[in-house]
Amino acid sequence: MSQDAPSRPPVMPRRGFLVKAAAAVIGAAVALVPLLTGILFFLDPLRRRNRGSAEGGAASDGFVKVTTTDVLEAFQGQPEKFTVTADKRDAWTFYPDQRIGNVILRKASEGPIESGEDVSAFSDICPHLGCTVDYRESHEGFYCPCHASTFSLNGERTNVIPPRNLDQLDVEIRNGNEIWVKYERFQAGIADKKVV
Amino acid sequence: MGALLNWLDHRTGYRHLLHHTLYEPIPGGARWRYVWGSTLVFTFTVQLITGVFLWMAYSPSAQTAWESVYYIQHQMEYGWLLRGIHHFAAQAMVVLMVLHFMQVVVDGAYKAPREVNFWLGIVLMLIVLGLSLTGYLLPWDQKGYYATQVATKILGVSPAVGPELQQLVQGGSEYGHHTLTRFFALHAGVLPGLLVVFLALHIYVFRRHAITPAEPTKNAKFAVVLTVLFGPVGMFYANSLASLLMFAIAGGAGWGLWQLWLRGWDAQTVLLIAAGAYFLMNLAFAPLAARSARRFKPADSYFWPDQILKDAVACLAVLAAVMGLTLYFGGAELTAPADPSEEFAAARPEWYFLFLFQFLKIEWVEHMGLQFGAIVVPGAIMGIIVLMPLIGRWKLGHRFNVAFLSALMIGIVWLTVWALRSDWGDAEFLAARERAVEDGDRTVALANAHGIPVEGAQALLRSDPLTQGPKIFARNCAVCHHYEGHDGTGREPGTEPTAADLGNFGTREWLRSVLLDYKEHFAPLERATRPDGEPVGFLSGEMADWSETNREFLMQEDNKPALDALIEFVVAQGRRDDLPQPDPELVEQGQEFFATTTWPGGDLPSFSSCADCHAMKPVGADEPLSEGAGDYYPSLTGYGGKEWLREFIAHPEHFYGDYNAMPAFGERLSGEELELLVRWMTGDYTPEASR
Repeated sequence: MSQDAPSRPPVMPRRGFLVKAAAAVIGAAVALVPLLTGILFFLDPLRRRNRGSAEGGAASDGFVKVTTTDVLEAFQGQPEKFTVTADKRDAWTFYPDQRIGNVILRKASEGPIESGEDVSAFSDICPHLGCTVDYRESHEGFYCPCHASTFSLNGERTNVIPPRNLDQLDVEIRNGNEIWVKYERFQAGIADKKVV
Repeated sequence: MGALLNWLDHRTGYRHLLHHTLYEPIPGGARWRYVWGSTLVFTFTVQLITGVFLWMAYSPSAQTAWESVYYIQHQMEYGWLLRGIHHFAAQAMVVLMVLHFMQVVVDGAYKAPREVNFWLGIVLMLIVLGLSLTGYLLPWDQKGYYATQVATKILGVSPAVGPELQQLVQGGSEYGHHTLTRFFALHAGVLPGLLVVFLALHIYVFRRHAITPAEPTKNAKFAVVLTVLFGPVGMFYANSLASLLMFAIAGGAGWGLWQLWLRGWDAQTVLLIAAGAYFLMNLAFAPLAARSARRFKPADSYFWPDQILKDAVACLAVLAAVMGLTLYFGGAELTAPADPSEEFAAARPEWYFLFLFQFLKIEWVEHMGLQFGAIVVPGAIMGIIVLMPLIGRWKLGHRFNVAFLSALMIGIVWLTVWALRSDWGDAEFLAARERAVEDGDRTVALANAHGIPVEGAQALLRSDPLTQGPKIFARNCAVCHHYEGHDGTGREPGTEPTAADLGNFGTREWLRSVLLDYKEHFAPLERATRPDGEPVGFLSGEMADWSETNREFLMQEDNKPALDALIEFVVAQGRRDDLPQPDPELVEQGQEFFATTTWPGGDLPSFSSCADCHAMKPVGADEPLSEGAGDYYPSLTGYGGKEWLREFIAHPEHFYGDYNAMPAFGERLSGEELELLVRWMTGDYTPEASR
């Protein structure tokens, strides 16, 4: 208490306590209502997973048509990047046929491509911290320019920088010669491959 | 803990500050009448909190403002609640501000040495009004858009620099992205910042002079008024024991009167006695109230905790009102997205500005010009208010101020009631208002179903058959055709119909009526003329004869299934998804009766089948069923479907040759308009109408 404290207490101490408690409780309550509403509103993104990711243009199972077998066969086992195009929803906006990312495809078997197993597909997003990996002939594999992560042709990490191998994507051959890839994104920086 | 706080206090002196804040002495003790300022600080805090959270989801641009507010309101968790609180707390703030202001004037709290604080309060009031004006535009819906247009146009007629001022506020010569970015910067940055600064000054000066204590005589008068008006509740202010006594008396009397009512006394008499007894009791207690109030000399107390408790309870009441309104109305309204090409006959400012709106509509005010009504008069009133502390030094000054304020408030209430009453009685206003709400709901339904295109939500409505079809119909078709008796949009058509009502076009009912009651069905054609001036001959034509000749026969019990099948077959040609799907078996049977005069009940009396005159290539068939009998017999291939209707509206002469009386709309309507009209008439849109 500093010196200009009241010289005599204006109310009886007992009643004073009740008044103080009531004032504090009610005061806190009226302030908390708008604050809690705001916080619940702010937490909205945690309650809606995947609202921002590809929808619509992909088939309902999440597969997107990327290219055809003859195009990929022409690269003769060299990895090649393909753009993934699908409908995209960003909060309220619906973008039809947007370029939503890239996949790296490679013919992974001898002979013609007949099933999804004959194609290897990787996300080009580095599992380390999300930069874009590229095929480098000098490395005989994939290389990320940000923090020098390297991966072999079949996606295995070849140094300890990335926490896991490149993220492999499911591939299916549909309608005879169309290559469809299930385009997903994964949490970066952790050893497990976890869809976000 | 204690050591840590000591350390902190030593470095910051927070205890002194806290003590100074909490132990403000209140001579005469805590009072309910001192709570208004605190409730205003509270509502402002609510606005700051909810506003900052709304800010996290709001996007100020002409293509994203409505869209982001839609997303807040209809997609995000608790978004409607947050926006509702912000919306209704804003209105509570204006109401509380007016109450606070009135109390200051009535109590003479503007007198020396509090003049400067009064002026600071006026500045705060203007800032709050600015906040509500700028906030009203931000959702960028029809309501806010057109109401704010009025405000900026008024700005444009201010003397000397009007147009420049308007352009600066709008960020250009028209409304657009920069109107929103500027309004948003004002609403969320400049004005709240100024408000904080002036509020700090206001509170600082207030603390310097302390509250304005009520004088005993004034207290007594106040107690009498309260007691006479509110009885036991009012008496509570002066004497709580007497108040309890009054409650008891009122309760006893009420019970007695209730008994009388139960014994069959007339309700009006009972109520009259109750009212009389109530005021008699109040009057009887009034002297006691005055005496108690005059003698009432409560101990002085401090801001904490006595006044804070009262303030907190008052804030709780304000919050309860705000939450109640939010829950009752389901949050704040969001009408259709702003669209300068869509008329909006219901543009009104927020209700607390209605008086100004109505003032401008008074005939003599209008006659004096916009500058007079919108700038000179409000400016003069503001000037007198600012001068109140100086006027108050004069002997009768205080009485003048109170009288002036009373007259002003009565005028404002009267103008507001006048504005509301004339709106409620104005069918056009109500219809426009309802349309804006319906269009808003429709845009939300479309956005929920399809997402919003990059061009913005406006495009959703513009490409929606359910929204545009009726408007196109009303503009182009309703001169001759009605739609379920109205002009398509629900309005009374201006002209008598000269052609069939198209409300159920292409349905089973429509076909049944054409076949059995042709003359009745197309009766309005009596009034129609062909381009060459001749009357339209359909009502005495071959189809009218066919219908009349075969009517009895077709309605015979044994022909009923065949007629149903025929109708099913023709309906199937339209391939409409909005009608009950045709039964394939019936369709197959119906195809036979389309082309034969041999019916279950014998030969058709007319000896001609549909196929004898009308061309028909059934859905899915490779070969036409019939070729038709020439130019004057409309083809029924795809009848009632989108393609048939599109072709018919564009070129009716292809269907009726020289007999045609309908204008060809192929040239008048754009391809897009024709498509929207056809899709509306055939029910081809999603989501379905919810009305």
